Parts: sequence; C-alpha cells; structure tokens
Amino acid sequence: MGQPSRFAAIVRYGFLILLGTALVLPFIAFAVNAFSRQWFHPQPGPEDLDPAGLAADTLSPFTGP
Amino acid sequence: MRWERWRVPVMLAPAAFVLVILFGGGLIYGLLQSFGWQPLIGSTRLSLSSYANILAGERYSQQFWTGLLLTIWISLASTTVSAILAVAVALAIRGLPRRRRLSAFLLQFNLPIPHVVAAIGVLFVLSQSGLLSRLGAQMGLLHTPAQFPVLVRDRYGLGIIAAYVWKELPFIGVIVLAVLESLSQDYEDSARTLGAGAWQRFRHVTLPLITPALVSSSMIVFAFVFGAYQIPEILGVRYPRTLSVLALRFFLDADLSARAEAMAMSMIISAAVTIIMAVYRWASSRGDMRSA
Repeated sequence: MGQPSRFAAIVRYGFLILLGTALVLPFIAFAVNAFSRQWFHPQPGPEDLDPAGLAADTLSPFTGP
Repeated sequence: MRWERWRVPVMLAPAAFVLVILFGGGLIYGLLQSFGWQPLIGSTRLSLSSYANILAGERYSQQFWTGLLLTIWISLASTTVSAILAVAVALAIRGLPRRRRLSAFLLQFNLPIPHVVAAIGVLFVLSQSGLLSRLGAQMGLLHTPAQFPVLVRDRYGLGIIAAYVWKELPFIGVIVLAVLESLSQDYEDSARTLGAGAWQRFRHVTLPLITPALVSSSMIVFAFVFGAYQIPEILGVRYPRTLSVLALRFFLDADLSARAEAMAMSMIISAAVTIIMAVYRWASSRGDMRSA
C-alpha cells in the first residue's frame, strides 16, 4: 500500500479545516451577536443620555425646581 | 396459542393508532378541505375548483408554478451539493491517519440543531450586515458591508440552499461514513494491485459500494426539503415563495376561502413526495433483484 503524497494530505486537511470552519461559522456569528451588544454596544443609561445632568436643573411637575 | 397469533398486531397497535389517527386523520381532513369542504364558512359542496384555481386560475396559478419551480430548484440543488460534499468529507475523514474521532464529531455536532436556528445562523453569517460582510469590510476587501453580494433573501434561494447544505451535509455524511467504515479495505487494495488509480478506485470500487446508502439518504433529504417551510420562510423573499410557504400563507389568510387552495397545495406537495419515494422504492427493489 503506497504512502499518501504530501499534496494529497494538504488537500485533505485543507478541505476538512475549511468545511469545519463553515460548519462552526454560524455559532461564531451567534456568539458575536449575543455578546457584542452587551460588551461593545451597551444600552444607553440615563447618564449617557444626559451627561451634563441638565434634566435635574429643569422644572418638572414631578421633581420640582 | 390463540393469543400468539394476535401478539404482533397488539404490540403494533399503539404506534399504528397514533399514525392512523394523527397522520391519516389530518390527511383526510386536509383532502376534504382541499375539495372545498368548510362547514365553518357554510361550504359543504365538494369540488375540484381549488385545484383548478391553483393550476390555472388568475389569482393563484402564477404563484403556484413559480413556487413549484423554486421548490424543485432548491430541493435539487441542496440535495446534490450536500451529497457531493458529504461523500468528499466522508472519504477525507476515512483517509485520516489520526484525529478521526474529532473530525467525525465535527460532522455530527450540528445534527440536533433545529432548522430554524440553522436559518438564523446563516442569516447572521451571509446577510449584508452579517459576519462575513463585516469581516470583509474590516479587512479592506469591501468599502462598506453593503457591497457584500445578496446571498440571503434573494430571488434564487441561495441562502436557503446554503442553510440546507449546512444542515443536511452532516446527515448524509454520517451515513456514508458509517458505510465506508464498515467496508473492507481489500476491495480497494485489490484494485490498486491491478493498477487502478485513485479516481478509478473511487469510480469503480468505492462509489458503487456506497451508492445505496448515498441514494437513500439523499432521497430522504430531497423529500424533506421539498416539504419543509421553516428555512424558506425565514430566508426567502416575498416572491417567488416555495410551495410550503405559499400553502402556509394561504392557510393563514384572512380570507377563509383561500384555505381550500392552501390545502390543495399541501396535497400536491404530499403527492409529489409520495411519488418520489415510491419511484425510489421501485428503483431500489429493481436494483436488489438485479444484484440477487
């Protein structure tokens, strides 16, 4: 039985790695979508919307002067 | 002794009961509705008008025929691509000197993933705001992610085919790999000693041996893709729609009279899948008789 050539081994492993990556890619996309929102694009809080704290100075029927 | 005769039918009865009542009952009720039997809206006259409407009527026929073509295209393309890649990957894994278990796991891990999840995963990867388009833009291959080609929600169903290939390739691959693992290496070694090259060994030795498993698993995939609606519903466009999505849309239509057409489409899908499976059974039984 002859030894498989180096080229055949590269093609075999290359194909399997490429296919494995394609199969895993949707899960990476899920992870990126799930975590990127939380880590890199957090929902703005009240201090982000009003960094100078202007809302506290305005007259409001609920909070008073 | 008398009970012995009834043992097998009694043991089969629970499974047969579920099949007959749930599947057979639904099928008969659907068939009656496709003939226009809908007491809810006062229609109890049976006719073939819903079939005539979807085959030649002004409102439904164009959607039906384009939907049928799209369904056949998606089923054929996804089954063919999955089968070719599955054979290639099974052969590649079988030839590995080590790490075969890891590779086999790679082939099996997405089998239990639901089709809806597969569709959303493909949407996240292939859409114009997806992972690949953003990576392409980050790496400078594209100026903006929007330059990425339209691969999901496209007229030709490319995203639908990609999702089905992602989901069905491992299914066919696992079956073909199991057959390959069970085959003796002697056949190929004999061919090699007779001077056969790699392609000749595959074409004349390996392929005939794996063909029954490959064809039967491909037929299951084709029949499933032909009738499934989740992936085309998520990754498809408004026009053309696959038959299963069209049937569901008509079924959910506010106009209750469209339900007869929905059921007629469902019956046509069921008939098509039944005919495909019957032809496959007939062909495989002929093949068995010839080889016997």
